[in-house]
Amino acid sequence: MLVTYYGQACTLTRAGDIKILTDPWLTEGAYHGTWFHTHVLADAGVTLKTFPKDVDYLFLSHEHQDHMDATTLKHFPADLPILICRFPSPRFRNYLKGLGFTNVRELASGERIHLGDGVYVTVFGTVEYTNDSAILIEQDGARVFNETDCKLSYTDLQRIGQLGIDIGFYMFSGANWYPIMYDYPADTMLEMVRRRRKSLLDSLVQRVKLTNPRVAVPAAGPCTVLDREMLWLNDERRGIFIDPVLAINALRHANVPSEPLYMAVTDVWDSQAGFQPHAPESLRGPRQKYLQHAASRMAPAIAAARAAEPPAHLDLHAHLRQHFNTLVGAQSQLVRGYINAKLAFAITGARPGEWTIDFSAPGPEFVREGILPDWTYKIEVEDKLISPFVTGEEPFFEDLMLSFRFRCSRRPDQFNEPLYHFLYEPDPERLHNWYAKSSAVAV
Amino acid sequence: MQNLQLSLSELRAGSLLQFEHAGTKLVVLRSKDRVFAFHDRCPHAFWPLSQGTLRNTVLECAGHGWEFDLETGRCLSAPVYCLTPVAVTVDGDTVRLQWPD
Repeated sequence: MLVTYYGQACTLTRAGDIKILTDPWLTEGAYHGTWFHTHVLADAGVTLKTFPKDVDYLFLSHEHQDHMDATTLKHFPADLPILICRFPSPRFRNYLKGLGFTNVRELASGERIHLGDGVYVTVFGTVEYTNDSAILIEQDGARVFNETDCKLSYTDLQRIGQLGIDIGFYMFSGANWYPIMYDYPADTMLEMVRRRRKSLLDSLVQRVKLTNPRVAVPAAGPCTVLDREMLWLNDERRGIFIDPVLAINALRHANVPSEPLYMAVTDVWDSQAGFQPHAPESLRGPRQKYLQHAASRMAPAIAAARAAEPPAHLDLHAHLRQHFNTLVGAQSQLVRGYINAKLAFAITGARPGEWTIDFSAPGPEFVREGILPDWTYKIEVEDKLISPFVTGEEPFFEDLMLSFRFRCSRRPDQFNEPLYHFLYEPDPERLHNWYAKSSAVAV
Repeated sequence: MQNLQLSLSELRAGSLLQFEHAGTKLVVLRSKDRVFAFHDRCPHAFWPLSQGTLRNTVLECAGHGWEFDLETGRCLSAPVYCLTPVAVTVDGDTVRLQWPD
């Protein structure tokens, strides 16, 4: 098998005559213009326009834009077979169908299917509430595992490891807004970031040890920010996005039996011949120097994209009220009890306003004007960024949070996972089932 | 109920050990002055807690770094997650563990 790396979790695996493209994100500026690849794809000569369309299968792990942005997907034929994991709700499948794809095939977690030519694929679903999945591709005793950024169960990872993996692509970096978007004092933040980065690298080491591939590639996870006002997010002391070279060093330091391998965009791994470097040497140089240069080059495009952002809806406030009243009102008492939050929005921009969603209110009115003094979670965000979410133009709330163009606070300083689940996918039946299952656990 | 008896001298302060009894895996942890025991399974992604690290009375899971307060069994950052406790009594050098079938 031949595996070509295209950044983040994107791999093109050629097994015999079959080409499987995993998690294609072949544009720049995902999540409201914030996310760029570790190296801008064009620096390795990769552009969406010239990317081959003749793949046989797409595997999409989940709905995050750095794994399947809509612009990239539209590059491929509408009848291209798309493999996804069968998640508890049909939201992802419906999203893909909404983009026009007619051949979406859902696989149960752990289900192994034959694609022809002796090529087998197994998809593994996450243990978490969020939708995510990983893929194992096998042919003639060779095995390629792409974890994407999916958190699999210990038993699944153990089972995958027992099969004997030739090359594994692993998540190695944080990819969310904690703690970096929170309002911690500077010295507290530095310590939290340090611990978070250590925890992420420790986790990588453990997962590589458990799956024990011959070759381990740090792949999915990190965001590269090229907006000059947000470059601090790339800072090793202030940000949780880890340089892949540091992940390689962590694997070496831990003496894992696997060979840690740094792959840059367009590099190839061949199950017979091993690693074949194809990326320009400039993509293997010092990261901070590269980032400064890339930020300068991308500045005009970033400014133009920002200027072209549509304004907030004229009736933003009415939409926000209706959106949250409907969604909170649809939840069971059990779920509202678990969430038990007062979620405040401080909205800036041309249509400013302050609102609090009170999950403990009796309903049907859960949205109150103003920031309640006993708010538990507060988000300060521009009107134009929250607008598409509350109007229904954008289905995924995380697209807003992953833009890192907001600030937030929480009281008490604890992760309210039920609130996060609600914002992630507020499907009433799914949420109720999840928390009914957990009801043996006291809140 | 299931019962398991250990010797306190088997448990070094700051250590965490896995024991298996009647098909159940347990993690037994000894802090400076207490012995704790739980089912050896993180409630997040089911990693064996016995692979984690102990810092005073906080257990960090090796899988994804989730931290648990041994006094309450709750996850520090997400209290909705809780370890499954095992009752512990210490009598001289004898540590008795008891948990439901």
